[in-house]
Formats: sequence, structure tokens, C-alpha cells
Amino acid sequence: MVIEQHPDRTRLFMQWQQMDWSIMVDPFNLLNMRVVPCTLAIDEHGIIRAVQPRLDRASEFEDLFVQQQFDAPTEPVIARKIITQAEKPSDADAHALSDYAVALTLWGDDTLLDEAVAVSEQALSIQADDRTHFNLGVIYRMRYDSVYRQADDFMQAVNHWTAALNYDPNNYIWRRRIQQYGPRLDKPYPFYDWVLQARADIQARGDEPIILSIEPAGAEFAAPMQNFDTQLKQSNPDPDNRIYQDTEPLILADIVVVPPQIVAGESVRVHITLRTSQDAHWNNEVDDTLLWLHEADQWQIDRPFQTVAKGDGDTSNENRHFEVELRSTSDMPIGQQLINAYSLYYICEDVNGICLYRRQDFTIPIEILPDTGRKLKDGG
Amino acid sequence: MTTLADLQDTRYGNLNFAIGERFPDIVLPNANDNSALSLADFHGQKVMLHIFASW
Repeated sequence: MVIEQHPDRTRLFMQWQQMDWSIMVDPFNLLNMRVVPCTLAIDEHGIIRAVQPRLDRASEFEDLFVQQQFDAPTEPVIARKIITQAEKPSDADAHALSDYAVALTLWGDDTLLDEAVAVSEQALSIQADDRTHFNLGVIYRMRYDSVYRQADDFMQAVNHWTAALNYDPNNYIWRRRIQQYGPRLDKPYPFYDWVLQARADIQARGDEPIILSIEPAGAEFAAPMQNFDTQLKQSNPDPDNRIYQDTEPLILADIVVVPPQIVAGESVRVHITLRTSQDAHWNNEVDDTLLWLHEADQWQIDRPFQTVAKGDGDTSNENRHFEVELRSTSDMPIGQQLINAYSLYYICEDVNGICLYRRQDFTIPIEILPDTGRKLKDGG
Repeated sequence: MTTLADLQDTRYGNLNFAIGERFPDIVLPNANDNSALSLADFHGQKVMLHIFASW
């Protein structure tokens, strides 16, 4: 059973490791696991006989479990029932509504994600608790990864995962879901660096690696790291603000800060996604898209100047994604801090429209909380 | 005399499962083909269930 957001990554992992057994997919952590990996030995009658058996005592385990025949229980042993609601329940039952939203996403296709979000939001409005928040975060991220993405889906996902973790700061599975997209200082290890090695090994065997629907990127590949690359290898590309602003705007900027709140001294990873609006499209006949973060008091900025390569063909409509990390000083004032940034890009108004070079300024809000002992970091 | 309980690696704390309880009744998609998969599909067989993440 695998507990992660993107099940097709597990399929690639299985192909790489040549695992041919069945794998159940549980992106919602319905079993409420607080830590993985966990191994269970279950007998012929569905009764758990061993929990996390030690690998260094495998021969004893073989004698006591594999070679044994277990009798059926003399009294009925009732299983905890973990179901996903197959039909829409009464409007008043928050947990049943949340279950129904989970069922829509597990068993339906992406066309049901809007309904799943709406039902899950309804559940949350009736009863806000850790599980409802976490499930809603998973659904928002699923919609963000689909063609039905809405502008704030990723931010909503992070906010709901954070709310769930605030209820139970020791839930390692929920913490990992945030860390997957968070700063390198908070990472126990790179999450998906194995993907490149897996593809190379599979191809070396003469097989074609399974194609992932959502490629891991940025934070998901990044290794834990203390050092920031703050050296400016490029000066401010438009210091006097001479490039015309994209006032339409032809490009929409989605900004997600992970985690959304920190205490002084901690770091955030900021995800900036630029997407074309209406009929606009990137002009790929000129240069790459640029990001510039202005210096800010009491912040260290890792790679304040970044580029995203232009797309294939003369024009394109793909999302262009930047990730940048910022570390606050230990005496950062409590409250909302604003970091100023801008992007420069080549854009065309529509298929036969005018092509322009435009600038878009935006602010990145980062909330500094009082240090009450709350930490996103953990020991793993 | 050694029992299966003695073989438990206790470093991980409470894992939300107890020896002697029935594994929860849960149906989830199979990663291979999205079909419905349940422990009930393996009734009559011993099962080693490994719960993990690829990260």
C-alpha cells in the first residue's frame, strides 16, 4: 500500500524495482498512518499477527508466521470499517460528506474534481477537523495537477495541509506532504531524486519507463541544503522600470509560499507559476522568461535571478514555473513581510495579435508567527 | 518462548495497528490498473502488507 499524492510515481518505482505484486493506492492516508514504512503480517483469516517484524530475525519470523497455520478466531473479530461513501450523504454529516469527496477522487475521473472540492468544502464548513482539512488539501492538489486547475488550488492545498498539521504536529505523513514542496532546509532527504536513476536503469534493461502524468520538479528533486547561492551573477535586468507593465494582464502569476507561515529564522520555498490568459501565448522567437527578486532587509534569497527557457515552436501556452527560497533572520519582526519581485517575458496578444515585451511586478507575502515552540521541521 | 510480538521493531512507536485485530475493511485502487483492491481478495492466504511511499 502506498501513501503518496501521485500514484503513477509508484508505478515507475515498481517498474524500476521489478515489483510485480499488487499495490493499493491511498493518497488520503485513510488508515491514518503516522509513519511509514510499516509492515504487517496478516494471517489466512485477515488477523494481524505481526507488526513491523524485525528484518534481522527473519528466520524466526519465517518459523512463527510463514510456516504456521493459524486457526480461525472462535469469536468474531470486527474490523475497523474504512469506507469511502459511494453515494452523496445527507448534507449535515461532515465526515460522510468528506468520505464522499474522497470516493469521487479515488474512483472518478478528473471531471469530478470540481464536485469533490465543493463537497469537501461543505464538509469543512460543518465540521473543521484535521482529517477534513487534509483530505481537502489532497483534492485541491489533484485539481491543480489536472486540466481543471484553478488559480489558487496549490495554495489552498498547502493551507489545508498546514491546518491539518496544526491539529496534529506529530503526523509524519501530513508533514511530508508539505515538505515535498517546501524549502531544502526542512527536507530530511530528496524526495524524488530516484526518478532519474530509475529511468536510466529501466532503459538500460531495454524497457520504456512509464510516463509520469506530473513530472517531479524543483522542491521535489531538491536535496537538503544549508547554503544559499546569494551571489548575484546577473544585475537587475530592468533597474529603472523602463519595460512597459503587462497591465491587461496577458500573463497571470500564481504565487504559493510553502509553508505559508514560519517563525523568525526559518525558510520558505516560493512557487511562482506564470500562465497565459485567454488568447495570449508566449512568443518563443526571442528570449527566455526572467524572474528578479529585489533585495529585502533581513532576508537571504537563494538565486534571486532566474530564467525559464522558452518553449518549443514559435508560440506556446505552457505554464512557466519558478521556485526560489528565502531564509529569514532570527530577529525578523512578527507579522506579514512583503518581498518584491518581477518577471520579464515575451508575449503575444492572440493568434494574429501584437507581440510584446512586458514586465509584471508582484509581491510575495510571508507571514512571520510568534515562536511558541511550533516548528515545521522534524527529525523524520 | 519467542512469539511474533517479540519480533516487533519498537523504534517506530505506535503504528496504529495491534496484533490480534482484524485488518481494516478498506477498498482502494490498484496502482497497476485502477481496479478495486481489498485484503478480502486474499482471503485464505497469508499476506505481508508493506505500507510505504516512494519518496
